[in-house]
Amino acid sequence: MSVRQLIVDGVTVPVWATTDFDQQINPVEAVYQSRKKNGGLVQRTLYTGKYATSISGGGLAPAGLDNINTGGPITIHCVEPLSISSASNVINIPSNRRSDTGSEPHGYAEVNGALVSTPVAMNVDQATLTTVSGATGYQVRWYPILTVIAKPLRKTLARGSGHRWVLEAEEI
Amino acid sequence: MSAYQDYILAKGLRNYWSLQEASGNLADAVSSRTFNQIYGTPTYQLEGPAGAGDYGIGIAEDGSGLEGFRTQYGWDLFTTSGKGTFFLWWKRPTAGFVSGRYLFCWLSGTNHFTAVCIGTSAAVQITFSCSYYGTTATITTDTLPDDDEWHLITFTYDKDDSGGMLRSYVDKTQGTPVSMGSFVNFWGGSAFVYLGRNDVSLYLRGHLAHIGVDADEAWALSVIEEAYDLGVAAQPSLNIPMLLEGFLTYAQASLPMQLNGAKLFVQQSVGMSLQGVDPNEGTVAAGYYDFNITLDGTDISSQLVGATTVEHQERTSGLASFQFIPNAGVIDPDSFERKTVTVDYRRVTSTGTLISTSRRFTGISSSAYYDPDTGIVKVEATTDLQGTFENMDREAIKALIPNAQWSEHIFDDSADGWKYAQDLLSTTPEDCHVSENGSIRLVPWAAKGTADLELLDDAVIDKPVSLTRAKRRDLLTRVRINLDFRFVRLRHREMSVQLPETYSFCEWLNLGFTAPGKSMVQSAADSSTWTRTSDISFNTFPAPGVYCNPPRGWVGGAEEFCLRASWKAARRWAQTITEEYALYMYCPDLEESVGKQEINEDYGVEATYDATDYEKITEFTGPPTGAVFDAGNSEDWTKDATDSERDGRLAMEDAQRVALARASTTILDRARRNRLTFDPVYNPFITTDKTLRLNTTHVQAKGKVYRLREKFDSETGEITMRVDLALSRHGGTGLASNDPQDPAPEPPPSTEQATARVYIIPWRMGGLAVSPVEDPTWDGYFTNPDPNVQTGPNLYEQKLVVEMPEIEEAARNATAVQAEQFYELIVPEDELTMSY
Repeated sequence: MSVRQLIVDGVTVPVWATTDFDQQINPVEAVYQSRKKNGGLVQRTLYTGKYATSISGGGLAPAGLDNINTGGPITIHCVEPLSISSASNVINIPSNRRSDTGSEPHGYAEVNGALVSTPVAMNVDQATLTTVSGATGYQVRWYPILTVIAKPLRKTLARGSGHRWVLEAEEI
Repeated sequence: MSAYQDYILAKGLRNYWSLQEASGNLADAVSSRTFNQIYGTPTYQLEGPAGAGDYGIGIAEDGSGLEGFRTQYGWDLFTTSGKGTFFLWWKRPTAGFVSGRYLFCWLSGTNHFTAVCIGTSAAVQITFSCSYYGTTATITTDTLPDDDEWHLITFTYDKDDSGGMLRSYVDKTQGTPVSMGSFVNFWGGSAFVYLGRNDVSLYLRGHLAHIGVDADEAWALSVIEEAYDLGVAAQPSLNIPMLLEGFLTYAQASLPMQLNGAKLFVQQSVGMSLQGVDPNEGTVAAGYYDFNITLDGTDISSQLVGATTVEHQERTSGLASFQFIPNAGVIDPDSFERKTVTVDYRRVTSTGTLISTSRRFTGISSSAYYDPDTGIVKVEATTDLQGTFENMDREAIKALIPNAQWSEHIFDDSADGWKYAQDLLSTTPEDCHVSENGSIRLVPWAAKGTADLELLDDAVIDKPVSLTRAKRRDLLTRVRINLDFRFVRLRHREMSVQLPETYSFCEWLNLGFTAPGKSMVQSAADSSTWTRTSDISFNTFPAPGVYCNPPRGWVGGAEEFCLRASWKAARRWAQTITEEYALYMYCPDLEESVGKQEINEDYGVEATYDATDYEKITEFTGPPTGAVFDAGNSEDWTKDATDSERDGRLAMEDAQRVALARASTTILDRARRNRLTFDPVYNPFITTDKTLRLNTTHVQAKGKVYRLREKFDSETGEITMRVDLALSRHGGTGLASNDPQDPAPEPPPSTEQATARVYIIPWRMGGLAVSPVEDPTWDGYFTNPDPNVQTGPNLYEQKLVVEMPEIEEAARNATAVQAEQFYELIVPEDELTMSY
């Protein structure tokens, strides 16, 4: 059984460095919100749609990411998926996504409250999920490739806990 | 004349119908062949080949009636040269091709004709047919494009071309030529010329423009190509930089325009910048925005960091500040200074498509700071209101502030442009600032009757609304203007001088005293400080004879003497007059509310005149020209030397007007120093020329925007706006009125007691018992009777002492007269209601 692996700046992080693993993908945006005198919310957005990611992992081996480029853009092939649910089985997803074996977009149909796996056919950025009888909705998941500028890796080594590392990066 | 027309006319056309007419006859632009027979109602359309004519008018016909044109007389198509070119521009009918329709023909009977018509074949073509004495030659063009474009159709004949060839062209493409054989002049035959034909099945169909005949030359393909290219060349687009300010009801609008001027163009696209700002943008719950900053014409928006601020305020320079990361390389902060800066707010869709744009600031960078540690340049910019005025001449500044007033007696004549502008603005209740677009803008202080925008609770951020009231001690309820006008009053006084006939002719004979000599009298009259203004009138002695009782004989001969004399004399002098005006500009509503709070302003105007010149004039016969008689008062003639254009009475009255305007403006300014500050939801419609009405739950107020502060933060997305409204308040009943600010009337002259204007010279007769001892202060004519009839011891020396009166102090000394005038002023009471 293969395990989806994190790839940073072209470097595949060894499995033994990610026996415990955590990735957070947080939105980066410039959005101003304020309440008006009638209680209504006003929102003005300068930009949105960017991500910052914080990845931490640990294991018996170090991550091997000490030589990644922190002075310029690199790519991170994420392990955490993003998803869109829709009543339609045809869903458009962003183009910056993993397509390596085991990391292609995959889909699910919601049937009676349960998510049932269903094949996904991609046409450029349009995902068409095979319809499932009785489905009330569909969900497509994909693994984003973020083009980021990363900070240098933070590492700790603690006896009993093994190698631990933290990578923080923001999408350019 | 278009380039196309220049080209074809240079070929030397025999006939040319440009078809530029909008109605009526179609004239030949070269000869006098006019299509003045009109059938039906052909349509004249404002179109034609794009580059072909001033108007591009073609004759269009798409109706179903019998439309066409015909000349009144016919003529030969070509000369006997054996060469020729015929051309026309054609566009298919709107309803589609209709075959067999005549466009243009010569017709003389049935057999003799030359015709251009739309072919009858399924493929639309144009055919040129000619028959001459039974010989027919026909050439048909290639199939015409089935489009809505104008096409050039050309036919040529050249007898020297392969023994005589007919050629046809559609645009720049030649069709199959037809051999004409040895025809020499098949174009001949007088005939009427038609556009279309007046036959049911042959009337005009399609659009025509620019029909011409060259009777001497068969045009080569290169000539036809050139003509076609010129004919279809689009007119150069007009680039008219324009900026329409205002707002559009729709987020995006296109304005179809027709530019009228020296030339009339059909619909043109004109590069314009339309700022369509929705005044209700502040009520939009969620929206996307962008802002754009240029420095020295370069867009640096993508390099911005941190906050960008823009601030505009009445009568001051607008300010902007921003920070950006400069391009790599050597950083010279000086290179960022004195460069144009623009800040634009842009409303966009979620995908970045522009909805509307609003310029927020146009100015120049005043300073730049570079922090080498952070690599950030901070720039501050200004609209430089002061510098703008300093570099303008006074005529230009006055033209910008036309309602203002100025007087050298109120303001400093040597002030620079900025001070001059401030002086002007001090006389008019208007705000002057540089607008967001960089132009000087003048806006009345007074809030508009109807606000440009009303802000309800759904358009105002939930932050404190603060009211800062004008300090009571800063309020001004009354301005007292003390204006002294000093001038010279020229005075002219006339007197009647009389030496009466105290002693009669008979008494003179009996007493034998020496009568005054006429020369003595004249000498006395002419040697005083008064100027004799008339001849001296003397008595006349009777002719020799016997007179008196007892009778005395009289032999005559006393013409050198007189018993009576009289004359007129006048005196001129200058008196300094000071008119002291006290003008009160006041607002009763304000005084009702806060009591009288007054300031004084003192001004003086002195009319230029050199009085000594006047007093030196000693020869005159009457009052000076223009003098007025002060009847019932001084009884003198007076004339005020106040005609000087620079500092005379009119200039003084102008100074009054300026002082009054300045006083009223000052009162209005102090009364509108109340500031209501609040934060609306960012709304680009709000600018410093707007009147806003705040209508929230606890505050209702309407006033003009006094100050506007905006902030954009590229890191947090914060976009905020803070408005200060100027509210004018008086707190009184509101019954004041506006008195006209006219100069105070000239005060009347001071009251003077008129002195006697008749001087009676007394007789002093000595040697009589009643004659007193001579008093050296006496004036008069002194004489003694003949010693034989003297009865007293006191004799007088014979003399004539004339002592003309001196001008009294009241008429000679500098005098001041006062005038007082009150001017009522309305101070607006802007809406302000606060509740809990």
